[in-house]
Amino acid sequence: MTNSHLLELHNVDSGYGRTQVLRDVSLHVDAGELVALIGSNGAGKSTLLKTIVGLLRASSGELNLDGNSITHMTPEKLVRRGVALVPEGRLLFGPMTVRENLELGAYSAGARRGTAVKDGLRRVFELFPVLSERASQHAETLSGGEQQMLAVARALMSSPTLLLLDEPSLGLAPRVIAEIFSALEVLRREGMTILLVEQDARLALKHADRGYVMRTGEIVLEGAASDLLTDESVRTIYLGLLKGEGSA
Amino acid sequence: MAELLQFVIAGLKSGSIYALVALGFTIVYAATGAINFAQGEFYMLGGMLGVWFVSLGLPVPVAALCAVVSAAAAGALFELAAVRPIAGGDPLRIIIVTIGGSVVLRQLALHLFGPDELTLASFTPGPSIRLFGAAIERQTLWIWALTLVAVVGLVILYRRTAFGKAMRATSLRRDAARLVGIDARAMVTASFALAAGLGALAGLAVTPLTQTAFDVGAGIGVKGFSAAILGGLGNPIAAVGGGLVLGLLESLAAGYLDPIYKDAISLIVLLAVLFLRPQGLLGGSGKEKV
Ligand SMILES: Nc1ncnc2c1ncn2[C@@H]1O[C@H](COP(=O)(O)OP(=O)(O)O)[C@@H](O)[C@H]1O
Ligand SMILES: [Mg+2]
Repeated sequence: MTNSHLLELHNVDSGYGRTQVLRDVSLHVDAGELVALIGSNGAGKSTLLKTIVGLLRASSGELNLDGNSITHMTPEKLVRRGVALVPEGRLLFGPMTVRENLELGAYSAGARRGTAVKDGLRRVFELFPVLSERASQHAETLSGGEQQMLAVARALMSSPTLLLLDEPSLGLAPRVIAEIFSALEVLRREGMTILLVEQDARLALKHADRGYVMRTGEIVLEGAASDLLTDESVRTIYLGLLKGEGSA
Repeated sequence: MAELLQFVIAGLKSGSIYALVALGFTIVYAATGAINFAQGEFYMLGGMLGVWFVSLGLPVPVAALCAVVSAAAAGALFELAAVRPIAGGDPLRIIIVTIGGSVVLRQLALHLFGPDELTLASFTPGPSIRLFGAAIERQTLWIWALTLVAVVGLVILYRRTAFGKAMRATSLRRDAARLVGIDARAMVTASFALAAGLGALAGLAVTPLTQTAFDVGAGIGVKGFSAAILGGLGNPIAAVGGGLVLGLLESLAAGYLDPIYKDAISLIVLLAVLFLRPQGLLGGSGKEKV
């Protein structure tokens, strides 16, 4: 029993109402790691992230952050403990400006909001300069790539220690994907811990230290990212994804 | 000409009242997706509490403030004690709880304040003001001024304050709002309080002109709801427009056609909008709810 993991899940079951999706999921993320969670569409990756942040309640099992239980913690509490999620589909506040979205990202700073906004804006504008050009535009008028950058930036405004990302590459052009992943590399070098969910297994594993493979709500494989990249079954899943475009 | 002006003044007077009540409907709708059918009861409470605080010997401005603040607190309590535990977040259940709540609030008012019509003195006594042959009661000026202050205050709240932006964010994207640390349920409580406060302000400001009683809530509820629907239910500014238009239509119909049409107008408007244009007449895209 080690206490050194930043995030730990033990035998977690979760789902929507009576529909169970996650079965007996155990995983961990250590401080400073970039961990990839891969698996095909519908495997339960988003369900897992929503359960970690408390948008869904685990029906059994335990979740720990830095050795403390966060099993039934609400998202609004968890963000104050340093966990931020960049949700699937971005979920931006569309009719509000880029700046307002970012200011809301620092909402959890409470009384220290003024400083948090100032420091946070400086940091995310450095990471994504295009956002500072767009600061007074409504979020919904941004391109897909800019919206994804804003979603990442909004999450960073809470100064998280653990950043969870749900398919940040989805639907974006390769050039934009490269830009977002190079930002993730910068964050990593600064010591940020990242749990990255991706359907694009190759992309995720290329950037990750370790990886987990998920299928129908279960973790079926885990290991070093470099090992998973060459693993026969992962190659099958990955190739299966490509073939699956027509057959699934 | 003087006659038309008089009708317009009367229309804008009741229209402002409808606007405040309609604002309450849109605020709760934005937060919950539900219609708060108890909204009219907070209008009633505003007048009743105002009368009660004055009877305790408080000066009118202090009594008015106490009435609005207590009604807002009652709105928050209503959400915490009834809406949240019984309905959870389900809009249909919220509607049912607010219908039940309106009956309870009315009976409570009957027991606390009695069955009689009650009234307040005008906020500032004095003769009406003459304008191009028409007369404006001083209390009407108070109604306009208070409505203006409330609307400007609301715009500042939503556009300039972190709390107001958090309310908007919650209504736009509840999950995303929670992820940045906003307590979404507290925002629902706040919206009930705000709606109740605005309703109470309307009921209080109008009492010197119309008197009040425990059972005035249902009637004003229909008017305010029609105004909110006319504005598309989605947009507070459009709801204010809806209130003013409804007030003018009523006043002109009563003046030029027959007074019996006055109360029918809101129902006609309601049905017309629901049949012809379910998204409202004045509402724009209806994308953002607050
Ligand atoms: N809101 C929901 N209600 C019920 N079932 C859902 C909901 N969202 C996802 N699911 C189901 O949960 C399973 C896993 O979905 P999800 O976690 O979104 O997968 P992934 O993110 O890996 O593509 C799927 O079978 C999906 O149909
Ligand atoms: Mg997903």
